Amino acid sequence: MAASVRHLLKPWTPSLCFARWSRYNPYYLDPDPSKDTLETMKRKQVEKYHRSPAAKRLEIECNPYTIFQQALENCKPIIGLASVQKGGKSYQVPVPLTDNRRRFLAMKWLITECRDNKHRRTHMYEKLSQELLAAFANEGNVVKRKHDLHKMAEANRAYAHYRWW
Amino acid sequence: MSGSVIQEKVAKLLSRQNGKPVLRPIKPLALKNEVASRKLKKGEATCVTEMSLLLACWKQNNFNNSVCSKEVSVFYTCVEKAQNKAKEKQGTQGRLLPKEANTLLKRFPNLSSEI
Repeated sequence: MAASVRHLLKPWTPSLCFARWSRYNPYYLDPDPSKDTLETMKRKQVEKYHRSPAAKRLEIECNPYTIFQQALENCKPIIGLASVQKGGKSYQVPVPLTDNRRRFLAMKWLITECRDNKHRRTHMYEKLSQELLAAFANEGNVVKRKHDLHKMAEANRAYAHYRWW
Repeated sequence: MSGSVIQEKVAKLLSRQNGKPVLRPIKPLALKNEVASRKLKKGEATCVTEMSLLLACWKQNNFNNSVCSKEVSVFYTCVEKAQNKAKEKQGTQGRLLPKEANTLLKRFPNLSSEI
């Protein structure tokens, strides 16, 4: 199959499904990491659910979409740093971020963290699912990075008045 | 119309018939179809008090967002209000913004030569 035939399998509306493409041998089609991450996350959570005693079963979240949303929320920074030049020197000033910027930073951090800091033989979807589950539980490198940013902002709080917007 | 009166005066200033010309222009004496952009007025930092409260709360509780959720929501509301205010304030002082004036002039320019 060509390098990225996967995009042809997706029709223009999510409710449609091309019958023609289902006739191809799945061996030759490239994998869809977005579907695989959600599937692995759900499998891990369901395994955890079945292994846990009855008291803790209600707390375990199995819906991969809610896990993803909550993990993304936990990764979003609240205050960012902007470089402001004043009197010849540039300072890192704590600054409120827009919603779009926060979402973008959270997603970018997740992706770069998965690309760089994981074992090279695991697939991207596995790495993503591990990171998302860790972020859901407020652990992991991405949440640590968010906390580091907040700590830097806290350390530079004296420069907050250098902003003019 | 007053337009031709001005043109005659300008022609007199430029002509050599009455001694040396008073004006020696390098660019054509006509208005451009463009307006110069306004200098941005420097404001002050918005939401500094809410931010400082949030940072103090974080320092006390080891950057735990669930504990400081109230400060976080207050900060967000302040930021939204500041953004709305900044958006409103820009174009409603009675005058046209330089950007808007330029788009209008591009669509309806002053014709300086016959087409």
